[in-house]
Amino acid sequence: MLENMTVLTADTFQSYTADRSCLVLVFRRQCPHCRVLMAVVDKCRPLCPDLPVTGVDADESPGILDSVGVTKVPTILVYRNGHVSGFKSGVMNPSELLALVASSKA
Amino acid sequence: MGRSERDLIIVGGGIGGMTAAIYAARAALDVVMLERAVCGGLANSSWNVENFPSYRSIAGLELMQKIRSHVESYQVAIEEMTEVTHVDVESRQKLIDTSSGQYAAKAVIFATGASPIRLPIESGCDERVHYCSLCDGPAYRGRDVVVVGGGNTGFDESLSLVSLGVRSAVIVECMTMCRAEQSIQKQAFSTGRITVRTDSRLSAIIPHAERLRVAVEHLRSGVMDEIAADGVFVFIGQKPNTSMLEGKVKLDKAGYVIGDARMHTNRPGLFAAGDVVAKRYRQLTTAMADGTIAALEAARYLRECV
Repeated sequence: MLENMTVLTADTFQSYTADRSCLVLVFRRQCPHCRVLMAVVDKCRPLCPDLPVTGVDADESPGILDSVGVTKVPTILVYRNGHVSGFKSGVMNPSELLALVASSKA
Repeated sequence: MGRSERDLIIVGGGIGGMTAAIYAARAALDVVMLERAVCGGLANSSWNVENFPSYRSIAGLELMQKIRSHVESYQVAIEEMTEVTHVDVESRQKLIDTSSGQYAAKAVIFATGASPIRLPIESGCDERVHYCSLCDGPAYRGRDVVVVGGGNTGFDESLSLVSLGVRSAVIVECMTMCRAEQSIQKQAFSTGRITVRTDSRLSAIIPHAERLRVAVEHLRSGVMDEIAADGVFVFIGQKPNTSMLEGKVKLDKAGYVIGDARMHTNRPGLFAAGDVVAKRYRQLTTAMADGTIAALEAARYLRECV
């Protein structure tokens, strides 16, 4: 689990993402690919200081996955002012994550 | 980004690389281990490891974390999320360019492992084709899946899926019999929820209403059949991660590094260990043996040749 990562639940997800810009990492605790993506996110954190990192535990909050259309973990959602402006499932390397973040600004 | 000079560079942080790191550190070498993702390699995805001496049963991720902690205890420099972009292994001083700078050493161990082979058909519903039961299996609780591949991994992942609550798993294997160990096959069949179709090849995945129609061809008779399922999990083997070595080191036809019994490649000072090596058996224990030998030989090489 990443340090300083707020884990959102069914009670907090909507209100947290309503008007914020942030990264949401959808993960499972026993998922090895999620561990890889957490390391990628951690490495990229200093390069996207405007995007606090949050998480959603897919096993604890399956309803959130349905509401945002996530079928696989790990998945990264990039929120800009409350809207999903970037979305990608699967493991990616740091440059791919940074490209996703950059494309979400357009 | 500057250059970091070391005695030994280990490329790859799977169990072969980590074992090499322990032995190299104990030989008082200044060693760095470069890993493109996180340490542990393919074993991180193993639901249950039952053939690792000292553990009757342990999750792959947990085992790899324990070994990584062991490596850390020797103050080995572990550089995760570091992608190798170019290698120059022709001269005595070998250079490894990475996403985080250049590394130089007189000895290098390649332990880059292998990656899963993707399903070689266009499905049109990629969101329901998976390569990791622990990642995506929970979404199939109470549902039916097809597992492609009847090796140890296919059976291990099928058992994982059943333990996660999958209602049924049909393993599709193209050979006349499954290659998995008898003990794991027996364990799988005893669940009553895992069945096998040998001599068969998955030929298409067609979305149908909320489900999938998985077309399977019987290879001897040519008869086509369909399995109704909700998802497909693919475990059809691996390919070696050696693209960076093409034209620089002797590889076999499949791309595995050809090494001798002492893990030397055809390049002096360049060693190989683990699943990346051309050999018959690819197990955690054989990768550890490779890593041990490669590190000891690298230490000897540095003593004698430098």
